[in-house]
Amino acid sequence: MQILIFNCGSSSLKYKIIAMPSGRQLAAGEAQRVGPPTAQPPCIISTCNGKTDKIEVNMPDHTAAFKEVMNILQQKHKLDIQAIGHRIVHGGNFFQKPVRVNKEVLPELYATQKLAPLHNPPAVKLINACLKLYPDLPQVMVFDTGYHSTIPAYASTYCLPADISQKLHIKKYGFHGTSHRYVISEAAEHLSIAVKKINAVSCHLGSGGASLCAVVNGQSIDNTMGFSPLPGLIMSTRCGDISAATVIHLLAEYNGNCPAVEKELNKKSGLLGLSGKSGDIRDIVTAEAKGTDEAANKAFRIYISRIKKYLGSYLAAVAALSGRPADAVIFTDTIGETVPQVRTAVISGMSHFGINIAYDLNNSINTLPADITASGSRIKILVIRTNEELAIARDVFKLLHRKPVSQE
Amino acid sequence: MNFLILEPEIDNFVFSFYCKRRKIFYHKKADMCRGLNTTQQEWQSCLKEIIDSFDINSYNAADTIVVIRVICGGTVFTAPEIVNCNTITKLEQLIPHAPLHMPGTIELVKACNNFFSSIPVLLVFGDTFFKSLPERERVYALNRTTADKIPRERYGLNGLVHQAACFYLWRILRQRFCNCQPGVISIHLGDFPEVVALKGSRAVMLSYPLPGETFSPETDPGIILTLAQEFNWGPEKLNKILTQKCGWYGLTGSKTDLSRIFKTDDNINALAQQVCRYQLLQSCAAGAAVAGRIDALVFSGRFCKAGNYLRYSLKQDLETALAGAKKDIYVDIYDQSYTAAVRDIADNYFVNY
Repeated sequence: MQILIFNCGSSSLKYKIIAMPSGRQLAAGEAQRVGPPTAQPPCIISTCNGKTDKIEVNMPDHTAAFKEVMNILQQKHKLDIQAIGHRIVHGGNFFQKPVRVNKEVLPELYATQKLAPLHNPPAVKLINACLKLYPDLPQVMVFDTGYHSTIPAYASTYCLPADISQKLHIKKYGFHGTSHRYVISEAAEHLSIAVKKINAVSCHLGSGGASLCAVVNGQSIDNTMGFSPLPGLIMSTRCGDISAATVIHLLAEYNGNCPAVEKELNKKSGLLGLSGKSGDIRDIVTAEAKGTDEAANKAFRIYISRIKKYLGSYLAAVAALSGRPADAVIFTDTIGETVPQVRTAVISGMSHFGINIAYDLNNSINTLPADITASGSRIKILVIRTNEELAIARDVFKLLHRKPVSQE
Repeated sequence: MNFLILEPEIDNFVFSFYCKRRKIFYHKKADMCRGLNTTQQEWQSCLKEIIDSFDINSYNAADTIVVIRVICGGTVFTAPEIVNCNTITKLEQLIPHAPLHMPGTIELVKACNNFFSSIPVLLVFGDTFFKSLPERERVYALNRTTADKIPRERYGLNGLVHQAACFYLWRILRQRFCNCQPGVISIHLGDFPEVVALKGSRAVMLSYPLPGETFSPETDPGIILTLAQEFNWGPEKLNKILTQKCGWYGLTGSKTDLSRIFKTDDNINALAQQVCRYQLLQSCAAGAAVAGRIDALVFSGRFCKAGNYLRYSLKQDLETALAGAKKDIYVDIYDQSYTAAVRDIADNYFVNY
């Protein structure tokens, strides 16, 4: 079964075609600069059978981008798409599990748009375009927040007046759920533990967003992101945790202009704000290694310290709920997978938690998954490559497998 | 040694007298002055009334110390200081940092210096405890231009009580930790609960405030921005809601506090108990991660007795999490008022002095 997975951004449309149940990737690509004209022309970068093409096409919206992508996949690559999976960032209170798209679920899907105004609306438009152009093609939505629906009330409830929380659907939703869920299942397999039994802390350290997830018996019990993706770790351009009083001060400074404050906290803060130069921790690691850039040194220390604190918190949360120490700490996504200095700095000095890193293994990773645990460490340290698209393809296949369109 | 403790506030003034030998402790709100709006001359008459009311001479005036609590020492004072010929000049440097508090405080210091000419006057500062806090704990990840527009660094709110609680703990554990820098977690359960981790005597981690009676410390800016946009609330209204309608009140729907939450076991209090336990566990474990070890926990603050409901589960959960450490976390409660904390800091200062 060939499943087309869409990951819809505000001005991009990434896709992969995955054959299930093998999980083999058949093609991948990205429609770039979708929307109003920009300095560069819109194009689709498409890779199939090891060959990459760049095709310039007009894509004023996601519907047009979708048509062009389908055209390339079906006409050029001769692929036979039998189902579509959509990564949806926010499922709100409505969607906890993967759901097949039909008329009944659309009103609830529309209601989620307000919760993720940058990400959900283009995905909703794409789903509508798919319904219109390929009404018989099964579509499944997989929600990033879904994995975190198991976070207990004591960790997901904010101390706000109940009527306000209910009216605005305010609770901790958590994000990066598809990635956390994927690496947890891979870690369980690597450690020969049933997914339903694994206790771990997953560190999704992306070059943009980042979050930690505490997992007990394979289920999420906490995530560093909350109602919005702003809190928690210090990210590329997002501020992470910040006191409510500071946000109120900022609102006063900006005369109550919420979009301006949101832009400050979303786009100009984090590592970029601290270093004044780059929002990429890899640049900061390079500058920090030279030891001459004080702002970079400071940004690195703050970035690492925040991860370390949440790692300690979540190791304790896991131990408290399960009655035993975690089985593993997992590093994933761009930074977690490729920057050994970050892994070293995070784990150093945590031996009292029963976690020790093997520095030589950490610095010489060739293939993933990798085990970088030092001998004597009670808790395993794993580096696992995330694959959200494969996780989504598995969900789609699982949901549809009783009625396969045809065999692979 | 006896301590006369003076605690001036913006619009009121509290004084206390403590006789260590006779274990006598007076604590009174002074109605005869206008807080930090009082002039030096008014302070002097006020001090005379205080002394008359105590009959200080019967307590051996020669063995008495005057202690003044000062809201901040900024970068000028890094420890308690006995008033000397340079002190007033140094205090004057702090006026821009605390314009409402410092001028009145200086007047009080001058008055004390004149009035108690033969008695040492000791200043203790509310922010000294957090001086050792590393920069990584104090700054927000904002860009410099933005950070310049707002209070850019954060300090804890209960430094004097944390400090006194830690002195109390160190006295008890002196033998046990004579050869190492212990990791201590100080849990303040007051109006603005917070957790501080110490490595030796250095504060190395400060939690964000935990929920209070009506106060919510939410650290997700998305929530504040949503409230502002959805209800069209300005900064004042937001501040009012977050400080007066949230916290345990927001969660339970009734005016309550930590001691009541742990005495009642209905569903809504059960959730509040779980939230409190969980947030404390997270803050303590974050402190342990930064401090590199954890040897002792100490509860303090107005609701420190809630620590009796929390101590066993907290100890057990932390010891389970600290899989690589010896399982022997010492837990205690420092059940003293804010004024008593000032007294204990002064006492400790003179013991070492």
